[in-house]
Amino acid sequence: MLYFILRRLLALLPVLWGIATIVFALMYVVPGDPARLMAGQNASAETIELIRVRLGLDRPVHERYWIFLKNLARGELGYSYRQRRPVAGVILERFPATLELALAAVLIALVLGVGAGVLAARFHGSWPDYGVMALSLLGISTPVFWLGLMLIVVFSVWLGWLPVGGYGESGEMRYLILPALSLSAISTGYFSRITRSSFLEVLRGDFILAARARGIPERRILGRHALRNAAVPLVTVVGTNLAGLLGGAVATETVFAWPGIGRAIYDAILLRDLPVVEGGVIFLAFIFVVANLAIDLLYLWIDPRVRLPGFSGAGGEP
Amino acid sequence: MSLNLRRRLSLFALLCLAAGACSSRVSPETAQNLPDSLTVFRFRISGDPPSLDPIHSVDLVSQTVVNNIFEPLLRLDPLTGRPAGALADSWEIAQDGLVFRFFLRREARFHNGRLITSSDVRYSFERLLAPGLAGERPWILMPLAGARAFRAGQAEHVAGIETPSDSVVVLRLERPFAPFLVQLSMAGASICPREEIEKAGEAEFGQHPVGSGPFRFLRWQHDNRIVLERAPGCPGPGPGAVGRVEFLVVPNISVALEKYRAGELDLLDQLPPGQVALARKRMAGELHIWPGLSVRYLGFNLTRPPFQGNRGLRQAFNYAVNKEAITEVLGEGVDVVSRGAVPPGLPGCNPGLAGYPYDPEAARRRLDEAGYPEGRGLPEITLLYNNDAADRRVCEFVQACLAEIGVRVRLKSLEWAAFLAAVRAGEAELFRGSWVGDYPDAHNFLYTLFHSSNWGDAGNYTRFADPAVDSLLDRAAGLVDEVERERIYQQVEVTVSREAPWIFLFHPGQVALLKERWRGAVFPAEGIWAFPLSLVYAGN
Repeated sequence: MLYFILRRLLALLPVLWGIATIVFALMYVVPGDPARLMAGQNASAETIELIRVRLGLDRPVHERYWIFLKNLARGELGYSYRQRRPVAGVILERFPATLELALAAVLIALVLGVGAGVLAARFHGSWPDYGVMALSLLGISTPVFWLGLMLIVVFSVWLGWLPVGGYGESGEMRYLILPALSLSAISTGYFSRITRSSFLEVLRGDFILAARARGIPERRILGRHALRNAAVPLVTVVGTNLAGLLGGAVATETVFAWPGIGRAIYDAILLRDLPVVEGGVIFLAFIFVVANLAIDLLYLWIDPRVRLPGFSGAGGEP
Repeated sequence: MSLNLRRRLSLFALLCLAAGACSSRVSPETAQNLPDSLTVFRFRISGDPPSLDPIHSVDLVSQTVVNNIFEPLLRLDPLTGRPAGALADSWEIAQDGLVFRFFLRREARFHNGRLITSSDVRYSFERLLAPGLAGERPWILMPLAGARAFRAGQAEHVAGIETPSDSVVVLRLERPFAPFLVQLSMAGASICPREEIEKAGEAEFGQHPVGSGPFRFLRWQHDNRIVLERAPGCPGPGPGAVGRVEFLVVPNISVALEKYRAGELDLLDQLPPGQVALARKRMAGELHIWPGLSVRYLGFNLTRPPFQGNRGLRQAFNYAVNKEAITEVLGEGVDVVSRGAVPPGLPGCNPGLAGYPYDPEAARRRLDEAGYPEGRGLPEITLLYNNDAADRRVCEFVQACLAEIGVRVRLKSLEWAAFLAAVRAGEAELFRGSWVGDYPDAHNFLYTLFHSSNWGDAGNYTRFADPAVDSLLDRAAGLVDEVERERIYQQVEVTVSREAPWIFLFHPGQVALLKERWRGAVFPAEGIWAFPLSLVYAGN
């Protein structure tokens, strides 16, 4: 197990280097001068040049790239051009809000999606099945920003139950509900469809037939025998979904004024705050890869039949 | 698995319980049920400020907050737009317009309790000018004698700043510069406490600012809110005075409007497109519309054909565009048709300027005289704009107007930074342009936008160059006689209008919603960012 984790973590290095290089190159080729944007329209050429020197933008590109990589190797993500403070601080300050939102959205999607999927599979070919499929299609197709606005209109403006966006002073729960619901819509749709198809397949299995023949109650068959076997494909989808949401949900974060990482990176792109873009993307890539690793490990726990190549429990070669 | 499922169900149940607990109607705090000292005012800002250090406050969001924490020597009177006392309660100007003597307010203190002295003014001004720190707006103080030498590292201090006593500051200019007093009222020229900057460090000071303004900094939750409270010794306008200000970051304007309607905001700094008519009908008592300090235009690149050296063609374009329809329909009656560059009401604006009223016949005649009868022979023109919905609508309307006289226009949109880069590099032949005044003076419009020293990259994006205009603008900048200055600017407006380096479109008006319970509000021409919160109080 340890060998497997180490190997996966080592494989992370070239991935991060590749991502860092691509992001650096992209930010280098996009038009727009960060110093000019910072200085404002009335600034003299001299002021702009001074800012350029301060930011290190006057150096040749290969030198900037080398400094960038060197800092990255030391775990330093650089300094934000605009905020004049370490990028790590900018990112870590926003990551808890993103994590909170992503976990809540996945939790809601998991509960609603799996429940709906099981229901659809159980009543396959009848109206609950059609209803779930229609709703899941609606969830997948509804633009997040539109759904967000509708939720605000209904629950905040008309009913006055929940606040209109924001994070509150200390991230109170009531601020989380609407953005999490809005963000979970697409995932709920996917989860319900995956659960349904996976369940249908499992329910056709001989072991389910045998369980029914033994007189085991249907609820127990579904909850204990079918669900665990149907969960394997779901884990992949849930894991990648969570990792994707951790990458920031720009539309949701913008609509609900949620101080997450996606919005920070989006703003940094518009303002050409290159270190924040580079640092933010690298951080998210790291999170994504780690999340994928966690999914693989989760597989082992859910389904002991799955054996990863190279994993023997004694750390031997594959 | 069943355990796992039970855990998940428990979490879901918790979530439901939490939702239930929150299902009572949210009742925002109001001024009525809070003691005066805790009267909270919620102000929407569209983004997270990059820094709250005055020398790095260039964007309007930063300035909205910084203006309340810090104080410059002077402020602009929100009603008249003229310089009024702030940290300095009086001042004298020498006859030659070169020497300014400021008398600091007695007992003026920083929020840390220390008395402010003239040496704080020197320190703050030299900090803005110091090359290593690269404050973004050193030009505010560049008219000072010795500023260039100091900036070049050739002098230890700025020769033009003298501190004869703790309460007197004397500023001497290199040469007379009429807008200097107005420039001194800008956020960048705010006075800062040296010890706090040294204690926090240059970078960190912008995160925990300490100033001497009407409100002191409490906390900043990035991308969420900034909280200020009324500073000790700044009593405000009486009972109900704003005791605490919360600047809430709400990027989406439609959401901000809903937040305002739900009572979670007291002031909304703008309205989503198409909402003004509705607000007029439903929130008339809360809607405030007032003239702004900006101009919107479409700029011709005067160094590229077909507009280079072809004034008739540029005038034809001006006559062809129905500006009234733009302001009435697209601008919802908030904007004012532009006849020149200087906004109406600002000294230097020429009220007698005819501009280019919508006249398709005159446009066709000019087009004919310019060598393109009915648009024949004129290549397709590319109109570059930034991808903003309101700008797109204006550009599409202009495209339709020009099509009526036979001119084909292709619209091209770019993201803001790429758009600016293209315009600055002179790549666009016709581009969307705008200028928001840094301070209310015609110099800030005409000099920046048409003087050849700003040619190209520095603001004069059309690359307009006229030695006669340059000479007039140089002369006006040094004049102490305000009447003569105004006359010169009006003369420049006539020349610029005749030369038509722009399609003159409109001066954007300003819109805000303010809850009716707040009294004493004044909406300054500079913009909502200069909204004087210290004057506002909650009425019954």
